[in-house]
Amino acid sequence: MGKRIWKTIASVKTTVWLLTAATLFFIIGSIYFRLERQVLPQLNFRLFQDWFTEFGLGRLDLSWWLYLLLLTLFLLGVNTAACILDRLIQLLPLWKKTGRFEFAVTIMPTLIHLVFFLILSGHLLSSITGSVETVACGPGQTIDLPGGRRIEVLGLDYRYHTRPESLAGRLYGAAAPIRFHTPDYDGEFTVKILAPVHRRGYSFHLDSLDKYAREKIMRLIIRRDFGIRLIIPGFWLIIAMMAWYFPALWRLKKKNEIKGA
Amino acid sequence: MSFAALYIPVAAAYALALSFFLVRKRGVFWPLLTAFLLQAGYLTLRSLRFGFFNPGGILEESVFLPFCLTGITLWIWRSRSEEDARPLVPAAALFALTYLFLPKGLIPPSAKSPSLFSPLFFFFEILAHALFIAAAVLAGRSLRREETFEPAHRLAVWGFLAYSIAQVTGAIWCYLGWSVPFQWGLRHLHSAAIWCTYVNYLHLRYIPWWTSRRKGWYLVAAALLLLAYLVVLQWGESRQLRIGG
Repeated sequence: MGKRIWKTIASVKTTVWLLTAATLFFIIGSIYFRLERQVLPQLNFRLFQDWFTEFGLGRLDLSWWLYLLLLTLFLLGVNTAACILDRLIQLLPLWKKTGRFEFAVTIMPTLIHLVFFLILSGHLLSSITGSVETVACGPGQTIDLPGGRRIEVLGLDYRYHTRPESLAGRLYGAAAPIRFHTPDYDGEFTVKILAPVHRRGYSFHLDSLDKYAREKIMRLIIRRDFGIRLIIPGFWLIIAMMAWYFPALWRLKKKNEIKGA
Repeated sequence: MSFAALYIPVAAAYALALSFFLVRKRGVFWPLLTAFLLQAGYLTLRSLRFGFFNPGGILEESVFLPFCLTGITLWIWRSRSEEDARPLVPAAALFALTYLFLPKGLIPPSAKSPSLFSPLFFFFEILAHALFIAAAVLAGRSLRREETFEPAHRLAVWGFLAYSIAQVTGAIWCYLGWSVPFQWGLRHLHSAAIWCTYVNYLHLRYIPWWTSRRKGWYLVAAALLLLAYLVVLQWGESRQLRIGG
């Protein structure tokens, strides 16, 4: 019985069903995001549990698909972990029996899945741990934050396109020198659009509310994100592994065909 | 002469390639190569239109997708087989001719455009879309004529790789500009749906029920989902602020 349950959890068929369900919920979600612009987009500026108590619980008509999506992704994570374990148990004894290249090709999908699992875990960490704070960013403004933290916006420098005429006056970039104060830190640094700054475990992002900043309203997003360290390196690693794996697989297939002939 | 008029020779070359394909059944390669080169010239002029190099002038789905499709067609024609390349000609030509009816002005760069990850994201995303569409066309052919499924599978795999690179570069760009690697929003959810669809495809080979024929149908259905996404995307882009055109 236990073996049968394990086989179902670690099965590729389960993966296919879960991925199909995830695709479906992503599509449904995208439709909701096209139709609704007040409640759902707040997910980007709150931790999941805060959003859930503040908005999600009261608007199940808008958010039902999200819980099903998160459940599906959680099950996909369990399925991925079980697949990794299952394959490792099967493959590791082959380490010395096959050639190095063949073994690397055989084990690579399992390693790719392992990194995918780490990325999923990173997204989970980002969604439920740390903190997200969004404050208006105007020159001379002082913002007091919980935990004795304080931000002073020392200035705000806008840079505009000067040529050609059709572009002149449109925002090219912006920078805000700020002073960040905590009970054990006091320092000044400059945050720019596209160039966040990391200090004392927080990342500071300058963002324009309007795409072309016609309104000249800037905001500062202050995040404490524990998942990002898994997500970004994980992404690069997975690309490098896939870029190696597929050509290597075809090379191995060709080699085996030649041997077979 | 308006800038939009510069696209007319490009469209004419594509129309010629399409008519050669439909009527003469041969001699398609040269008009298609001409169309590709003319389109490369058009894209270069578009990217320099503001007086400095603006990758956004090239990397717009409506005009770069047919360019990629044509590039893939020519590459397969020369390096692999004419048989595999020919079915892609009408797809490339139809996408290129559709652009005639779409807005041609330039979307001005925003304060979040000057990042290396932005052009990298758009380049790999559009290239992946072209590879997915090409894979579906070849899968459709293999369904009709009982031909080998392998060329379609290869294009789908390369498409998946390009799409994954797009997701990574896009996530880094999103983190730098918007503070998160994944935003809850229409575009990111669509991308996630497409990515899951093709991840799913890669897993089908481990299930015996999924024969080449069934996988062929899957690739066709996946491309239809992608096309629906492109229509929605185009709808959004057509309402964007544009300069000239």
